Amino acid sequence: MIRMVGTRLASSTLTIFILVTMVFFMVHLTPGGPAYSILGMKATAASVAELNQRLGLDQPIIEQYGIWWWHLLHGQLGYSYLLSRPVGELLWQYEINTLVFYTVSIVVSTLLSILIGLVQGVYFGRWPAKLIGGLQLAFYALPAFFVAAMLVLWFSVQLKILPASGITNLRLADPGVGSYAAHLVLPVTTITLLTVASLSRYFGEAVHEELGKDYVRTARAKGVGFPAILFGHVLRNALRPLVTILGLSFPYIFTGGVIVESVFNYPGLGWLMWRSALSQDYPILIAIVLLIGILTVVGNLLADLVNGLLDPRASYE
Amino acid sequence: MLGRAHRMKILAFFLAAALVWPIAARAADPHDCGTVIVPANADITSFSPLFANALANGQAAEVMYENLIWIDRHAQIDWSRSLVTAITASDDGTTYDVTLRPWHWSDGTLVTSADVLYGFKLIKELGTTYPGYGQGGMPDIIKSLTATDATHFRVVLTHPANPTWFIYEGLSQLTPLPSHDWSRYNIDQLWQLQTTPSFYKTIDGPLRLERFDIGRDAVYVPNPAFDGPKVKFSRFIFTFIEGDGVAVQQIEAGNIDVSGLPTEFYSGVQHIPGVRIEQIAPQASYDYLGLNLKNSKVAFFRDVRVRDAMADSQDQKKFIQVVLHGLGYEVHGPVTPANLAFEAPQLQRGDYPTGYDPAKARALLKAAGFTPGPDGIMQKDGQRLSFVVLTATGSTEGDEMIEFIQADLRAVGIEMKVHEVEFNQMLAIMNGPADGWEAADSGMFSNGYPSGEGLFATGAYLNNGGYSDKTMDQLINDSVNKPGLSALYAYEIYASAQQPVIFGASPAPVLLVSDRLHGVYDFYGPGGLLDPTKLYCTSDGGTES
Repeated sequence: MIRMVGTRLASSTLTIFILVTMVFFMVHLTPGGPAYSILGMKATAASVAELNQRLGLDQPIIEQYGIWWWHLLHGQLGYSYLLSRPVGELLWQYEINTLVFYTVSIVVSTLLSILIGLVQGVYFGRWPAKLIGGLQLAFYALPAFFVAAMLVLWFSVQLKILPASGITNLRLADPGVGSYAAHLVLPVTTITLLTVASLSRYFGEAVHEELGKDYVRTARAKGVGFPAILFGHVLRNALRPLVTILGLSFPYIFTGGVIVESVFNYPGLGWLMWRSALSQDYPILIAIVLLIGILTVVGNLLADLVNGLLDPRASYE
Repeated sequence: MLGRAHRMKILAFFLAAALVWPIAARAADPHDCGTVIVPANADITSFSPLFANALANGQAAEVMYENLIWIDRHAQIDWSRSLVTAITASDDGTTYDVTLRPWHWSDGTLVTSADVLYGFKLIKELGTTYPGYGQGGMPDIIKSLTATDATHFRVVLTHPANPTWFIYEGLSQLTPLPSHDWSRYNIDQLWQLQTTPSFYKTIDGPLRLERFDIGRDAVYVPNPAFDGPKVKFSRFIFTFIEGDGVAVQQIEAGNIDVSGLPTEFYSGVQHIPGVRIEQIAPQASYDYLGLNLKNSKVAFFRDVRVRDAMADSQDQKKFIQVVLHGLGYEVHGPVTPANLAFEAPQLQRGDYPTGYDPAKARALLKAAGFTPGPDGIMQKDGQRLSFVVLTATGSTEGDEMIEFIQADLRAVGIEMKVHEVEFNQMLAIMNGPADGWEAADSGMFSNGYPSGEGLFATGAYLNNGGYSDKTMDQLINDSVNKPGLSALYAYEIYASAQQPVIFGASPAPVLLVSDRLHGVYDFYGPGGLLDPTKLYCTSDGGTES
């Protein structure tokens, strides 16, 4: 296992290096630049040149690239051109919000998916499973922004029972945990509805497949009760593909969904990445890409390790 | 059993959250505004008056730092709101003696001439990166700035200037900054501190920045030491909301007190409970179609007859009725709707050299040698009268406007294709190689005096299209250097005839306002200035007094 982890980390480092290098050059070669965002309407060639000089953006791109790595090796992610804050500080500030939002979303989605998938697997071919399958397809087809907008219209605008945006009630000087939780409900519901649609389908298929295997028939023949088979054996085995999918979605826990965070004005990393891309705030953008790369590798690795624990027969090679 | 237990927990979470929020969100004392929440039109990236590159940043700064000169909605100086009580200009317009109002910083020290000098020193250090660089000749036009005493200072210009122009466009940019607090920092440190709330502790405006959540909310509290009228709320929040429609939803949900009203939403928001539509003072801005006269691919723009034909093709009245729901102003020259006090009498009577007349537009194109091609688009020597306009992405309102302009142009045989890019990319392209763009959907913002030295003078800092005309240069030169308004009027009439850019109708600012909040009309100044002291609330959500 140690060998597998070592090999995986080595190849992943190369992948991340290539990813960051590509993004660095791509964002620097696109027209515009942060100077235009900073100077606004009155940006002129002279003022842009002067500002670029101050920001170090007049240096050859290869030199800027080298400086970026040099800073990274010294533990610095750079300084946001537009927001005038260290990138590390900004990332941390937004990361906390994203972490809470997506951890709650993934936990809720996973539990619901297991529940629904179990029903779908057990009742495969019969009307409860068909109904669930129809709903899964319907929700899977819905775009995130549509679901988010509908939830806002119903629960915030019409019923006025849930807040539509932000992370706390701005009207209160000390909003407290209740306000924070309330502001999470609609974004979490959006992510949950969309995630459960796909996740529960995978899990339902896995449960159905496991139920048809020889060990289930053998257990039944030996008189083991169906609940014991389902929760004692099938659930554990069917979880493996789910874990792999969750591992792949691990980066989203940290980077967030641009669309959902934008609709709900939720200050997460996805939102920050979107704003940084628009204003070409390179240091933030590249730092987030680096983070995504690292988390993708970590997520995959964790999924493999958990799968190994769930099924000792799983090969690490 | 496992699934059921978790399902119950999830249900409990949602139920608790749904129950907690309405309790937590209970309104404050109905006789007090409590917290007033206003959307910023963009995310705030600076609170420093020195680095205010956009409207949102300017507003975020100027609620903390008083302006030297306050221009009212009639384009006149409001002396009661200005930090100066008197300005005396020499006959030749070279020397200006300014008297400061007795005013205090939040730490009790007097706002002095030294603070004005300090602000100017920083502007000079910023050079061309100062966002107001070039406007009103700033800062290069000032030969010397000296403090006569604590509340008097003298400005000497490098050459004689029209006093009205310099006071409105140049002097108005001088903002006193707390030299006793800030002078320990150099300009680079000030740059790095521009979003740090604790840095802005010494202020002279009505509000103090308490907290800033980057990209989201700027939370202000009243400045207890403010020398002006006290504000009538306990907190003021600028919140950044992405997207036109989201802000409308936010005010419907009661989360904010004011929202912009994009034209495409106008019909659907007439009767929102607890929310009213309010038109505020016209803004000191207008939209225009910038033309690249340097680009040989669209050399036809250099012919004034083509430019006039483009202007004559535009049915601004219909545009205002259809696209702006009747809420807009016709603009045929370089005077913004808020600067009408400075408009030439001839133009005030509606006697513009250009205006909607498709027949005249076609005649002008014919006179310029263009004939209709097989597809109806005019052509000359094999070149079609066709160009590509750059527009900034993200605004449905802007899309509708550009489509209307496109249709009017096509009606006289001019083809306009649209290419959407991000705003900063558009600016970069316009400042790039001459053949990189053909036209751009842009806008202009004025401090109050509608002069053209930054727009249409040869080599002017905003003259991206490279327009150059000796008569225009002379008229602009006269309007900013000679006293009186006759040169300005002549410039306005000539610019309207020349159409160095194609002037376009300007939307009237219309807002959705929570019924509890009043004074919004006076809160928003025409130049984008905000006066938080004008806001107040009523418990019954009654009508404006």
